Amino acid sequence: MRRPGSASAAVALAALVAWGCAARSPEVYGRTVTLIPVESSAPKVKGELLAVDQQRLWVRTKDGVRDFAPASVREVRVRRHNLTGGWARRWGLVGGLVSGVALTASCSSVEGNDVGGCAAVGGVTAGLWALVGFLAAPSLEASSQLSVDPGSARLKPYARLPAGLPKDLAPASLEQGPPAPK
Amino acid sequence: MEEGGRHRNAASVALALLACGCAIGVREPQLHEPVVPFTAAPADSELKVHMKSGELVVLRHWQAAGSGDRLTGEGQAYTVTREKRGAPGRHDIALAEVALVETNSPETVTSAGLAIIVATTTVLGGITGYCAINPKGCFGSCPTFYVLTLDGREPERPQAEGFSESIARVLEARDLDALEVARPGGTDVAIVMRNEALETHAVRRVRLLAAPRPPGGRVLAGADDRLYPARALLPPLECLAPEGDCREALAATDGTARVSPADGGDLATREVVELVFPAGRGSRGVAVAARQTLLSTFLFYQTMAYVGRSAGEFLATLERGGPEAGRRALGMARVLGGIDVEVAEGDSPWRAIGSFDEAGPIAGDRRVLPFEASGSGPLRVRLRLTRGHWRLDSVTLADLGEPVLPFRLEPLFVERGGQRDEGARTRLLEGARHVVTHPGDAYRLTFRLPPSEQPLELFLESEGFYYEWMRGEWLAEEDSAMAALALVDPAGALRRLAPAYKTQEGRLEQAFWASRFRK
Repeated sequence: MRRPGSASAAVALAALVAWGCAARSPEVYGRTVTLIPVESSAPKVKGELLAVDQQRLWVRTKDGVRDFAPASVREVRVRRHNLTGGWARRWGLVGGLVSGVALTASCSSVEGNDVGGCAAVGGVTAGLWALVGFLAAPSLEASSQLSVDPGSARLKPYARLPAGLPKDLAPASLEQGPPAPK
Repeated sequence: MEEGGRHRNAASVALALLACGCAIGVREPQLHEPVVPFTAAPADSELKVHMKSGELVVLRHWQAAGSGDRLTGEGQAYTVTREKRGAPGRHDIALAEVALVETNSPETVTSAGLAIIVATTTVLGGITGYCAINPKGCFGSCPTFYVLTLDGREPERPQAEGFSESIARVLEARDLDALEVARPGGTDVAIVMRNEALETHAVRRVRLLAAPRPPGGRVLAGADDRLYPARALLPPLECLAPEGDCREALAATDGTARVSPADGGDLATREVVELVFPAGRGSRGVAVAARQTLLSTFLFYQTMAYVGRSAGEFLATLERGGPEAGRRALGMARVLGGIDVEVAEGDSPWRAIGSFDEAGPIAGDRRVLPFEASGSGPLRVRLRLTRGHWRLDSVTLADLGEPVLPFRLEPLFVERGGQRDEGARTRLLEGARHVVTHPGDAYRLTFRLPPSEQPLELFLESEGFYYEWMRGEWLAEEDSAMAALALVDPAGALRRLAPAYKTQEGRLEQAFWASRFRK
């Protein structure tokens, strides 16, 4: 008979894998993009890519709909999937916390075990999870984004409105909808 | 399924999971002018129709209609702000109102980072899950038992070692050991249980079994754990081993043991010892007192060393695989086997009467193998055993009575560090949970014997399991191929390991006793 511990690990793994592999519901919004400005002192801008039109890049940011001249942008990073570097770091911290607490509690439940020693076991395990999360982050971050030249026509398919802004549409009206990516 | 096959399957599943885990599904959009047919867009694929108005219709089943100037299909419409427009349904769209059509091709991107995360979740998550469910299995190896003398002294060597083959929880077992001591009825017997190795012991029960000795005789445990009164124990008239006469060595249980060297080419090579006893009639038994050499310990430690850093995974696999996997893990011990005993009277043919197979190199044990003697002539006894695997102390002939029921005694007191430990006593009495001990731990158990006119022969019954600790120095010998060989082809492994064992055989005993761990 399989032990429940193994089963739970298998379920966790399957969930993780499923999350990475599963097909998602249709994307009706534009992709999340990060604009890297030419000017090094200028802040990066993150938001939903609305359109590439009228020689401008239209982006819905947390501050509203903004447009940018492609010449002012060095690079546009287009989000391809959600397993980002930040996700890896959060996975390491949450996994480490859960695993560390569970192991400490489990170890402490055995009569005769030193609580300090058990805490050390939990701590080392949590540290391992966190370390792995932080080590995996750069690789995931790199795979989660596509770097595109701001003047390239390759950007258009990732926009909500790939054909450009419709006539008579006030760009500000596109502010509605779920919170813009931050 | 063979062990090796199961490992290969497990590795395949792990690789498949890793492959899936490293490959992340992404969608790559492609734009098409609104002229059917759309490249790489089968009719059952999702089609995103971008209207000139900025609205969007996502069609799941679609086809060209009219003279190719219309699209019809099932799907959902969205406003320019991407709110749903109405319920999902049938749409008939004039291509003249369409700005662009979008198809999506499923692609994958790979990431070494995700592979690391999947592997870590599998390994650390698995260990955490296993330990949370089975804490003692993770944090908690064969206890030794010392019967204190009447004046309270602890002997130098233990009289019993518990459940030596129970190297994992799945192999948890009850063990009965003859203590080779008797005590008057109505007195207290103190036994010290020690953990003297780098092991974690999980002890479920410890009981003392007491049976009155027959006048001038002994009580012997059979291979089936039944206790037989033996009125007399006769030494052999003759004893012939490959090295010559062995009568003196095997005449009495006195600690003087007969041991042969292991074979240098195959550790499973067997030998034969033949003995002759006087003729007898009725219920008889061949009583064998012996303990294992350190050959089995060497093989166990060597297997652990070969498994190396995968020892945790190895034990977890053992636990998951149940008793059958456990028996396979003890494959080399199984091939070495016990001491098989056959008897023949006069000119009658040989008949097997059982095996002596008490595991463990620390404390000897004595078992009697009963049979019915016809008295048709001198009794010949033949022992078949693996060379270098056994320290034979005595082989005697017992005149047996009917099995007796012993007094089964629970510990009256359990003390640790001079203090009563009621928690440990409760656990040993109830048997629902284990008393877990670590290297250097010692418990003193006191039993009160019932009144008896005859001295009481004592036996120790212990139940539990243990985990061996990995040693840092073993990791240098990590060898997955040899670990696999030990599991899949134990007989082959015994041939491969013979030269290595022979270089250490002469000094193993001394080194082993010098390694006892005491606080």
